[in-house]
Amino acid sequence: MLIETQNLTKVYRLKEYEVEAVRDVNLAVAEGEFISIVGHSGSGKTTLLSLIGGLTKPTYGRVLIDGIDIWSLSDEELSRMRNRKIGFMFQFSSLIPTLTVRDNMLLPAALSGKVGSAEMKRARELLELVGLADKINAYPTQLSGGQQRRVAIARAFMNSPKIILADEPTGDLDEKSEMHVMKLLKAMNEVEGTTIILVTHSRELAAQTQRRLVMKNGRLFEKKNFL
Amino acid sequence: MKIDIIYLALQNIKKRKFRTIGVVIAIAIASATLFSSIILMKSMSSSLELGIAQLGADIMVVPREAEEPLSAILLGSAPSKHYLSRKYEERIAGIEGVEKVAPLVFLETSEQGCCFKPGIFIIGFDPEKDFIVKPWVEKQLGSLAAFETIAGSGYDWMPGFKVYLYGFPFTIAAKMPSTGVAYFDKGIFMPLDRLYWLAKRSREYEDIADLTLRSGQVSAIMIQVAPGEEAERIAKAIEFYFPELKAVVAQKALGNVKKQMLMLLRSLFALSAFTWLTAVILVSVILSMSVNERRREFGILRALGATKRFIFGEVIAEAYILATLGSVLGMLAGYAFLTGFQDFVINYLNMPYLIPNKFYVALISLVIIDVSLLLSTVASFYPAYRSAELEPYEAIRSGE
Repeated sequence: MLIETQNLTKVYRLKEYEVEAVRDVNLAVAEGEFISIVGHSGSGKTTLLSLIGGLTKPTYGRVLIDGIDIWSLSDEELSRMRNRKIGFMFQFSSLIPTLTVRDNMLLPAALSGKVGSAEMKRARELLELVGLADKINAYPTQLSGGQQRRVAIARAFMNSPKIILADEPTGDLDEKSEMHVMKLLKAMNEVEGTTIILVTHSRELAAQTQRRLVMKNGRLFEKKNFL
Repeated sequence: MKIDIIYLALQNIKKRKFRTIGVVIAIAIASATLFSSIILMKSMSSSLELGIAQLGADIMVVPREAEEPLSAILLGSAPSKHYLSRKYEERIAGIEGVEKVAPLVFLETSEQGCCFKPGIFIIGFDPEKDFIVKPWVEKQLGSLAAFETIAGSGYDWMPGFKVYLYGFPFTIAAKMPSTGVAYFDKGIFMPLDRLYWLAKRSREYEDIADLTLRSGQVSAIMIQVAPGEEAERIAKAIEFYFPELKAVVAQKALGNVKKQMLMLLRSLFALSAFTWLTAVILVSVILSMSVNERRREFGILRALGATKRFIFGEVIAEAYILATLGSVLGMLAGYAFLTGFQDFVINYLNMPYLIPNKFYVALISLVIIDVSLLLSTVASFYPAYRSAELEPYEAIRSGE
């Protein structure tokens, strides 16, 4: 398995009470799978994705990527894993406002210490895929919200990660852009074999994935008959 | 192209102009005051020492009622109007341990009458006995002709230029090198006999302001003691034999003048310490605010693969760049002020002034940049640490 979670639990301790955002989740995702997780707001989808991506530490349980417990790694090693193996897509525009589109695109490559002509070429190609090659020198503030989201989606593929963790990547996008993004995800899954975990509200989008899961009150369920 | 910590820091500095200007100004003010204080102190110290060396006298003898002569010469306050007779020269020369004696007259041109310019110090010396001005004149010129004078470095008069003193034209024969000592830099030098003549003529013409100096009077008798002799002992002997006179030991007086100057500079250093403290607090607050605003940005960088060390380094790098920029600008402003307003410093702060050599200025600049980097580390350490330690997920969700 490429991704495996074992009894994954995340508890937030507030002043007077505790909130169990993710409860005892056991998930196994094979390499090249395209799965979706649906659920209401506050059901724990985003927290689960962050736990898998090593952005937050579980209270209990383990996350294994390629058989490695990611929380046994040092900060340097975990950061390297995020940089090389995982591409994130967030619910919001996640571009660095002080950098141009080109610099934002090249950031993952720069963080792994390699920015050359090959990376420049890939950045341009990815921007072409999201229809924004002409905006390469623009700053995020010069783009619309939707355009910023598309650049961030393209950036997630920059280092050719094995895993894409997409948290509502099409939220706030119009239907046409939503379809375009979905097409891109499917293409990357099929052509490059990227493993994708898509968190979405949309059952229509989820229906297009190979496996569908539902998150409810922090627990994860498999759904066979989804629609 | 390279996208690294420095590049990210520079982009952030460029795009967040308001914050950048605020931090740079705070550091520039602090650096300018520290730089100016150190350079002023060094300039004061070296010009006083150079002045003493230029004087070449170990003891200065003046009438008892005269003000302390050394600080007047070095700091440029008005020369004393109390004179002593030249008859003391031979008697003092007879005291054991005295090697040379040389009389000097210090005058300041007044605003009345037909003087060319008020506030010029006229220094009269005896070409036969002098060991202060004459050696330099002989080296440069051979000897001074009648109506020839030597100008201090503080004037832009070139040799051949004519200066009118009490109605009479004097030709500038040469210029003295810069000493930072007011009497020398703002003075013109002529033989005593010519000065007595000038004083006499000034009393003969109604439209010329009188010079009260009489023939045979001098402002001070400068003494060089024999090698191995103690200046202090000789000064005491002079005051014992001639109670109406005051014998000032140059090195001792220099120490007192330096002390006076240091008192003045102490307040400048206090101001500098205050501006640094303010700058450190300000930079820390501004960086903390900036880090708070950029929580999500740091979270995204972490998600993209930035390590804690990278985030810490970026905040520190920003502080370093701003500190370097601020301190360089501050020092340039300080240097421009100290060189551009040299006359202001000499005349209004009443300080001896000699800008130290370039090596010293460069050394001090490096020290100030180091101080600035050190204090910017102090100011940015906590904001940088906090940014690095943010949990990426919490950072990304901030502002939701």
